[in-house]
Amino acid sequence: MLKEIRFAGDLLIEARAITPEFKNEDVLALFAQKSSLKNLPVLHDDGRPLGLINRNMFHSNMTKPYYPELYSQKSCIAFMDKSPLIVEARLEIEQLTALAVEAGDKVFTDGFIIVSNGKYLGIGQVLDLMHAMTELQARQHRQLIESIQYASVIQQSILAPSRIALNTYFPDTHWLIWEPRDVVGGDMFHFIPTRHEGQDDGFLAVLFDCTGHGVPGAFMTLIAESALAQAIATHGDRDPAALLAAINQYIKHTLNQHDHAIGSRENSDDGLDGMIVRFDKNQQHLIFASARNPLFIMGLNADEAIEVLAGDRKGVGYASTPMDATWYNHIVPITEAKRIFLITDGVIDQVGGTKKIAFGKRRLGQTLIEGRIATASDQKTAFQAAFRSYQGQEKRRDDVTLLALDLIPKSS
Amino acid sequence: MEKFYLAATSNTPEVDFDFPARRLLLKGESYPESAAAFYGDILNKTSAFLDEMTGETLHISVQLNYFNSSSTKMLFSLFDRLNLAAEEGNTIVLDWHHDIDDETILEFGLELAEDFPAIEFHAHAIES
Repeated sequence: MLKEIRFAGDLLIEARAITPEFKNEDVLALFAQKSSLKNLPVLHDDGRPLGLINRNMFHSNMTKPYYPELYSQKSCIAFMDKSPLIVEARLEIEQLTALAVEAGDKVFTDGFIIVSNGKYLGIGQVLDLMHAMTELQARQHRQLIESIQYASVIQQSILAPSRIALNTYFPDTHWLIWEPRDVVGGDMFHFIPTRHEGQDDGFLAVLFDCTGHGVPGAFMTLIAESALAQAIATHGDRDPAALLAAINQYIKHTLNQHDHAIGSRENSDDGLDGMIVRFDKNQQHLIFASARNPLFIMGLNADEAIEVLAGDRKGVGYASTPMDATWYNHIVPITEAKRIFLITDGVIDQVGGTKKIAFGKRRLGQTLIEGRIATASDQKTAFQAAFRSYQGQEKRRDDVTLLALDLIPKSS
Repeated sequence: MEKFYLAATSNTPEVDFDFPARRLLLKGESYPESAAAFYGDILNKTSAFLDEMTGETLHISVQLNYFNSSSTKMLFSLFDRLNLAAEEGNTIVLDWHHDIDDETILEFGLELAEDFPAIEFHAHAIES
């Protein structure tokens, strides 16, 4: 493997240098001897660089009328660049690049002089510097990606118990898409089956879209996950609105967004949008509390339209949300089989189509209805195809999560 | 106060705040890595400008086809400040552009209109 290039000295090319005692006719001879010689450094007697003679510049001067006659016997400093880029060998290549760009064109043709404690060592070429910078950036990018990929392992481990619980509770009657835009992301889901007197009586399902995506989004999901665990420990698993209120307080405290003295814009104004859904199959109803997220409900048997239920407009945890904020428990009777869809705004807002506009709730509803009679896994496949085709060549704008759950009430 | 202009990038909108002409424009898409950093300057400049404005008319034209949730919060802060200026006796006219089929953008505009009633709101459906 090639040596890692980090400093200007790593780019060193040993090159012959001359002193001001050399005359222009000597320079002419040196250039004539060696056609590959592009430039000649000129040094003081003590080894400090004085300037750099560029071959082309030198020749263009010496071919002017009468110049050979006038200058052949003069010192070689006549056509020398008196301010070449001179850098210490220990200078880091990032800084060297900045200096080279600042110095402009001539560095690209002449290169730069490398010194150690001011004394000449040799020269460096910009092409080598560019190779080194490309390699450095590739290495830094690789490290960043590896780091994020490992963070993804952690994020997926946290979601794993809910995935397992979903697969156990709904072997064939749910589907889930969890696609962070940047390997890790700000969307998270949580699922726990609930029991009453030892019998299955429904479940609690949670979908959160934390501010941001990528690494900051993923940080937020960890806070949200702890907030949720603590809220459930305190308030149980039957009251979605109480859980959102508790999570709001937890996030505000954790990020110091409750205290204006500490919590300023420089700190943080983060939180989450999302939804908590409690299905009680004995009571034959669904209770949901939502922060800015719509809930889609579709009848599985009848040919009815898909319903879109809006959530409350307050986000959870943000600096602008009061500490004592409350959310509303919406109760929806479920007397026959339904399929509900919990979604994050990454689905609705994705830009695409011929007009480059948002996917939108209407199109989402239409896509879901078209898959009404399909099995859960077929509907998932059909949705993914429709969504991908809509997105087309457009970039993914946000994390995308969609959780579909079939609700089968206990027959009364 | 001078004009404030930022060219559009792939994830930030064109910002053309022509304060002397009393015309502000936001156009494009908004999903910067840090919305607080991107909008901080915009909010500060607008706020300083509005502090000096009395009994005047200001037009703001918004032509955004995508903004993420952090940008949404920043837009709310901007309109909150404009609403205040309207309550203080200025006329603030918001021209909210959306594609005729883009109900998502229209809905957001309608939310703004509801939350900031002092601003004169006009939705413009663009046929394309």
